[in-house]
Amino acid sequence: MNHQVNPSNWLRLYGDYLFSIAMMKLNDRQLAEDIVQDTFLSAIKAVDGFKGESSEKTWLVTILKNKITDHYRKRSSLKEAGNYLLETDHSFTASFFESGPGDIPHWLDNTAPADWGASADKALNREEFYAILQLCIKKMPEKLALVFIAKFVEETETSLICKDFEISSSNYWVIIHRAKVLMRSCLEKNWFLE
Amino acid sequence: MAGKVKDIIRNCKQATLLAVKREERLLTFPERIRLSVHLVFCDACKQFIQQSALINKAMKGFTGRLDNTPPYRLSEAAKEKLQQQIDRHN
Repeated sequence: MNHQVNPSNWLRLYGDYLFSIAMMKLNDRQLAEDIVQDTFLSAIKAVDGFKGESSEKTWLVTILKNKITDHYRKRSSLKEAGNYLLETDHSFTASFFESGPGDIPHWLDNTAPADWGASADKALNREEFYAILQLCIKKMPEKLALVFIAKFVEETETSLICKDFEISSSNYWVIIHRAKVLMRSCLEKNWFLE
Repeated sequence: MAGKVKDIIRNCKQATLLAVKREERLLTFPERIRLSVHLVFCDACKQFIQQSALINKAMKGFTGRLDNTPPYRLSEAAKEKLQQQIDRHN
């Protein structure tokens, strides 16, 4: 056995961390627990292949991420992101922008980004702010949340995200744009102008 | 042409999409023109750009905190079961 790896400590060291990543992407405790278990067992089997090029933790996160991607592939919920974006374009646009026939999508009076004030950055030092941030991720539609988390929580390269999710780069931008519009609106309502 | 400029000035959806793209990529020349013309007239989209940058910073903070304060915790029952599974297969 590789001396850098110690499976008996995994649960104590990384259990809640891996579970949190799984929960954010799956929103289902039972499923997230199963996938964490699956991750540990696969990792134990693959332990001889672990070369120590990355940390033990990074290695476990990669295995977890692949398990979650496989899960979504099986459910084919990653497929046809293009159709999903087309079908939901009207309702997204109507929620935030003027969108009558012939209208150019301009912010509505009540959705135009407000001034969060000069000390908006101070929120970043408050623990409560991060709870709101997490709530806002939770409220995002699944397809948007998956890509948003891959980009901003897992810090995956854009080209790799497009490959994993089988989306074109223009759909990637549409997804990140929508996620940002929803996120800023949610933070404004629940924190900055609360 | 005048109509087209008017559309660019009014189109906040397009401008914010370009702004999000600009965080990662170099925009094409026409895209740059469209965004900068729009921003001359639109304070709301200027706010959006600042807020988007703040969200990026916040996400870094969020990701850093996942380690020390994971937002979700395994139940005791789940932990017990997991540890048994690990010990059995290790």
